[in-house]
Amino acid sequence: MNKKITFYLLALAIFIPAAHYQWGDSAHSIGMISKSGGQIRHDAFFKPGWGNYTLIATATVIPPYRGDVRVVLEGAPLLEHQIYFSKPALDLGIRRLPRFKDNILYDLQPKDRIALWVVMKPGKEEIRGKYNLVFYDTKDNRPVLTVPLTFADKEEANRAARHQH
Amino acid sequence: MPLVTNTKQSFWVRNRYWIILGSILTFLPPLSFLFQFTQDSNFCGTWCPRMFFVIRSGMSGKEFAIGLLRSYAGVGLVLGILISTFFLGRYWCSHLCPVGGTMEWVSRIVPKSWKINYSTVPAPSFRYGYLTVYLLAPIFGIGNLCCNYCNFATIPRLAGAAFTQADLAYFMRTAGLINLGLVVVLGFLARGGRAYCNLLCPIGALDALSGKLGAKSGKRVRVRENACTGCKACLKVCPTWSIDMKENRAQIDQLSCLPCRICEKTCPREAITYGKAEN
Repeated sequence: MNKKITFYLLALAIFIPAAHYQWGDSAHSIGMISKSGGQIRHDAFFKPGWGNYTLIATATVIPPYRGDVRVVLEGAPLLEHQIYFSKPALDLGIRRLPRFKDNILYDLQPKDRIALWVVMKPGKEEIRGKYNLVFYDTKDNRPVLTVPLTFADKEEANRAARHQH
Repeated sequence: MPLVTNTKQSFWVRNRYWIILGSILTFLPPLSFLFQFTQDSNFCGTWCPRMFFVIRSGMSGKEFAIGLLRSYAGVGLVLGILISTFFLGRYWCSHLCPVGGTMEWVSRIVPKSWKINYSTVPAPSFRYGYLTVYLLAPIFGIGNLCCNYCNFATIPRLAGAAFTQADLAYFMRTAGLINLGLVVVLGFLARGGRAYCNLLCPIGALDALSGKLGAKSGKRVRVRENACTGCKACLKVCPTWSIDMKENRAQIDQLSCLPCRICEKTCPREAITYGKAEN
């Protein structure tokens, strides 16, 4: 067979499975923070059995909401986790950014966009079931966004993950 | 002693590595200068150049339009790249892309004995096999290569990992480590540092199509056939292995050529020039 056709087919053979298979230790959620409780595009799915999970949670603040927001990972059993706020390494102060300290986003304003990295370590226990990453307004303690995290078996997670970026 | 030619006096040829460095400082952490105008810190979000043209199964026209608006800076960037390439060649890829530029810079400090030579791979075939899956797999609901295997996510986060935990977190996942592996094997360790660009970059693949479409009317790196002696000096230095010999004359594949113009600088006979096609 022609070498060019062979390499074209080889690329298809490599990348079709690569596109199909989703790694079960990471997910991305896209959400909107709003006064009415927020909205997400889809659940975040993880496969049980990994030693480390990473969620990137991006969200836009829908007007007129503004305020400070506490970010909490809820579910049982408690999951060891760290939340990191994605911001420029060296903030040149060209545009205002919300401040993130002790899992609280300070001074969120309409149309702000945030990106949080949540790194979860289940330890020896295999995690299954539902958790939520909840964003609470610090004034009235009402949720402004809830991101469901599902630790599910392979087929279910794969099916759902195919819809994720 | 080699002649000092117009080529060697050209600003773009003499200063290419400095221009790349300027682009790295503009786009990558710690400065991420351009991104800070849009409340971003990297190519993800407003500046994403890869996601807006991916159509997912069941996606409505409205969702597609929202994707365009969400990545408006990335849309503008890609349109600018394609238009400039049509007329001038792939200057974005060769001089301005901080992702490909970083891989090329790092590859320059890697010892020669560690370098991998990919020149036996017919790059366009593999590249367009990749692009076929990149564009069609989401349409048919097979899956997605878009964010999971992204050079525009990996390189900025590699630069940022030394400064922020959020960027470091990118590598605490299997997909992040695979991306890192791809960047190392196809970038840092590749001869010329551009195998990733040549094989797996969807922007590069689209840009190459624009380059090929404008090859007749636009400015490109070209061989003056009557001046070429077939010494193969250009073959050895081309980072995208886009030069081939035909009847003992060098031929440039405009579908893979970046106007890095290293070949032009290397040619002892000044047989390679950058410009419009002679009638």
